[in-house]
Amino acid sequence: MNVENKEKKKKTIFVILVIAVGFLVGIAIGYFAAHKASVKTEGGIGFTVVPENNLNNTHTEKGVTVPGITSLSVKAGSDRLVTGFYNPVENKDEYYLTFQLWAEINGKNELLYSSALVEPGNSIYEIKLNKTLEKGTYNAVIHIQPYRMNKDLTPTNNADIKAVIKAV
Amino acid sequence: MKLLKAAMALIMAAALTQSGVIDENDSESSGSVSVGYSVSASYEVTIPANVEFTDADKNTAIERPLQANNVLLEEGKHLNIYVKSQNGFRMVNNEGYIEYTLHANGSLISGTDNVKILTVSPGDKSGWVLLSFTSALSGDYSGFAGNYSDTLTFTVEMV
Repeated sequence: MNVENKEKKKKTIFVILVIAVGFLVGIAIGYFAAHKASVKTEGGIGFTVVPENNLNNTHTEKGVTVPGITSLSVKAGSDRLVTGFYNPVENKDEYYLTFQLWAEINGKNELLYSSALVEPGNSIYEIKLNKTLEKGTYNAVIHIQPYRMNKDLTPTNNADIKAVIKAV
Repeated sequence: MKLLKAAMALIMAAALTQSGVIDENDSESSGSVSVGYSVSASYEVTIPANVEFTDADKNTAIERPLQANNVLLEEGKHLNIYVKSQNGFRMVNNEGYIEYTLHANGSLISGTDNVKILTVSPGDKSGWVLLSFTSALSGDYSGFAGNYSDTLTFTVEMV
């Protein structure tokens, strides 16, 4: 009976040891697997990121979209002009636009209009010109200055859109 | 109720009579209507808003696309896009400057005048050019700490 008990006890200890060793081996495998994965992730984020559109940079920045307008019409002698100036929806949550309308009048560039900030998706239908135009065709430039939608309204690169104003 | 029905009948009869009136002169009248629709040339251009170099970018080009989309031109006309640096491709502040280079599809852009970087041909609805910015600063900057910047103006014209 005593011998039987001793044998039983030995078997129980052996089983407990096997389970304990298995448990430790499992922990070790899990630890190394996790460690290996975290190294891989760090490398992917910091050094081997493939940039969007295969561009060679780690900066992610959305460009600013500006509208192209080629021709504007105004009634000669009138200070009201229908513009079609707009801020494309592509700039949503990113950029305001401002518009300045310049025209070459008698060889001199004159500012006819300057807008406030225009939000993405919004447009300016009609503007009041600083001066009226006589009948004729005038070379014009629409200067578009974008601003970031942040606290400081940081200006970005900008665009000059060449157009003509037809005063009829 | 009977009066109401009679009144409605009279109104309907009058309406039918009116709709049936035919002006004898109608068959002889003629006219023309001019139908027109004016389509203005238009387009959208997406320009790089900012390019910011950090110490990590000293030997690396930062690439940005410039794209023309939804292009609708007059027949036979092109869309030309030019770039001009406000400071001659120098990022400046009150204390000094740091030079940088700009390549458009591999061609070096320099000077302070407008340089053509993209032409959209008649019939094409879009076009794009890859702009590559590289800081000329390779070692430590010997000047003052601070922010150095330049502004690019992109001029677009239909010719």
